[in-house]
Amino acid sequence: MRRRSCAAAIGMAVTLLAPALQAQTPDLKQVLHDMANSLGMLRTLQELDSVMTVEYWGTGTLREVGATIGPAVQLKSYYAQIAYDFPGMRVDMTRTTGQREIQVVSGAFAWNEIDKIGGGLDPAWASATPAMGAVSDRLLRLWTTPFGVVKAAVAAGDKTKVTVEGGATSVTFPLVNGSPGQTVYMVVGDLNGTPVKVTLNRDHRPERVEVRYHDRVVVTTYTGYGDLNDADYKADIFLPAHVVQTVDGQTVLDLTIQKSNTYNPYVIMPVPEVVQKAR
Amino acid sequence: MKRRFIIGSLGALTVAISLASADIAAQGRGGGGGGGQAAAAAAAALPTPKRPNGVLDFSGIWVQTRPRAEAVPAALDKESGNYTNILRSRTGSPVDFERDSGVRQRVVPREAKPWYKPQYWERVQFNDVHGHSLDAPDPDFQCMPAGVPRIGMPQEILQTDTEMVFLYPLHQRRIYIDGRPHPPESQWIGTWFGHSVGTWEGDTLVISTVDFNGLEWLGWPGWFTSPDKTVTERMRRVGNTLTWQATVEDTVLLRPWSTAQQMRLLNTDPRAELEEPLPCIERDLGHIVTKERG
Repeated sequence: MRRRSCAAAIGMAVTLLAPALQAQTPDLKQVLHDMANSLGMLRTLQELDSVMTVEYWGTGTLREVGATIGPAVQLKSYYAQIAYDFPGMRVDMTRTTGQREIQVVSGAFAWNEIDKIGGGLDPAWASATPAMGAVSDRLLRLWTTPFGVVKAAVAAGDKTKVTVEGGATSVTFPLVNGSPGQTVYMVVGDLNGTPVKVTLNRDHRPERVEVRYHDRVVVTTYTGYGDLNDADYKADIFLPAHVVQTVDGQTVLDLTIQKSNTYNPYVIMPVPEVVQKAR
Repeated sequence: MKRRFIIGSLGALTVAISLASADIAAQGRGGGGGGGQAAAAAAAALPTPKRPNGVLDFSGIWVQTRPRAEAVPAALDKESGNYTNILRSRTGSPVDFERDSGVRQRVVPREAKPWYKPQYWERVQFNDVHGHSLDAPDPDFQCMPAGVPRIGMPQEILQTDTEMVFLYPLHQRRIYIDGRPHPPESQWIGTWFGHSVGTWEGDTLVISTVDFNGLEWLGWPGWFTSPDKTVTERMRRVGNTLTWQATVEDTVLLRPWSTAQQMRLLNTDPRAELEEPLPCIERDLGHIVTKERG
C-alpha cells in the first residue's frame, strides 16, 4: 500500500514536471551544431562541416576481440588514417615485439596490408590480404570516433534523439546509410540500424559512445580533448588525447593519442584488385 | 595563387584586395564579364563562329562566369568609405582566416583527388605540410609557372590556321594545330608548359601536351608530378561559351586524373583589353613561422 502510494506520488510528480522537463530538453539541431562546432568541424561563415580526413598517432595497449577477449598487448605505435567522405579507415599498429598489422576498411571492403601502407595496389609495392569478415567491426570503429558520431547522428535525420540524464546531454541514433553533405558518404553495411548513444561532456564533445552490437556492449570513452596537431600546425580541430574502449566491461583498447594532422591530409584507401575479387 | 600566401607578411586585408584586383583584371577593360548561369545559358544560345578554314574560332578574351560578389565576399560602403572585410572563416574575420582556409582548401572528395601510387603517398603528405617552405616548395608559391593543367583556362586566345596562342597572367602557351607531331622523346627538354599540339574531334579541340620538367604541381595540397606526365585538354566552344577540362596521366598515379570542368564567357566588347598583371615577387618565405597556410 505504502509502495503504491509512493509510486502514485512519483507518477504525479512526473506528470507535473513533464512540461518543465520537456522545456529543458535541448534542441536537437542546436546540440548537433554544438557537437560539431566544439570539435572544430564547422568552418566558413556558412559553418560547413569541413573535416573530411584526419590522421593521428599514439601508443597504448590492445586486447584482440574474438569469441573471447585475448591478452593485453603493448603497442609501440598506433597510426590511424580516416577518410569520412567515402568512408575508409586505416589503422597501422606495431607491437613492442615488432609485429605489425595494417588494417583497412573502405566502404564494403576490408583487408590487411602486408608490411607497407598501400600494399596490394601496385605490383612494386607490397601486397594485401582480404579480411571481408572484419568490415562491420572496422566500420564501427570509424563511425564511433568523435567526428564519426557527429556525422552519423546527422545522417540519421529524424531518427536522432536528444535527452538529458543527470545533467548530461545524450544523443541517440541508429547507424544508417546516407549522404548528409559534401564531406561524408555513410556506408555502414551490416551495422544498419545499430543503436548508438553518445554522451557529451560539458564542452559538448563526445565523452562516451555506447553501441550495442552482436549482443555485446561496446563503450568508448574520450577524454583530454585538445588540438593535437604540431605546435606550428594548429587547426583548431580537437581530438581526445585518451581513448579507452571496453567490450562487455573489459578494456580492449587504451590509447594515448600524441599527435594529429587534422588539415584534411592526403588519405585514400583504394580497394586492391585482390580484395575486390574476394567479395 | 600566390595571392593566397601574401597573408604571412601583408595581412588578410591585402589578400582580399588582391583577390578583387585579380578578378577585375580577369574581366578586362571594357567589362562584359560576370554572369552566372543565366548569362552562360544566354551566351551558349548564340551562334558559334567558324574560321574560313572551317574550324571553330576560339579567338577572344574569355572571362570567368563566377560573379565578382561571390568571388570576393567583402563590402565597401561607398558613402563612408568603410571597407568591411568578410573572409572565408568562422567569424568572417582575418583572425581565423589562415586555419579555416587551410582546412577548407583541402576538402577534396576522394574521387576528385589524384590517386597516387602508394609509394608516393608520404611525399604528397610531406609536400602538403611543407608546401610553403624550401623543404617542398609549391612552385606556385615561389612565383614559378603553374604548369599545365594547373594554370587552367586562358584569359585570351589568339588563333591562326596553324597555331593558337593561349595568354594567361604573366604566361603564354603555343598550341600547334597544323598537324605536326610532338618532337621525339630524345629531343625533349623538360619545360613548365610542355609541348602542345591540337587536333579537332568534331567541334572539340583536343590538346596533347608532353615534355614537362616534373616540377609543376597539379594542385595546392602537395599534388606533385613527374616528367612522365602527359596532359590531354578538351576545349569546346558553344556560342560565346568556352568549356575546358584536362586529364592527366603520369607514372606516379594509379589512374588518370581529371580536373573539374571550367567554363568562361567571351568578352563581347570589341575594345576589351587585358590589363598587365603585376609581377609575382616572392617576399614571404623568410617571414613564415608556422606550417599553416591558407
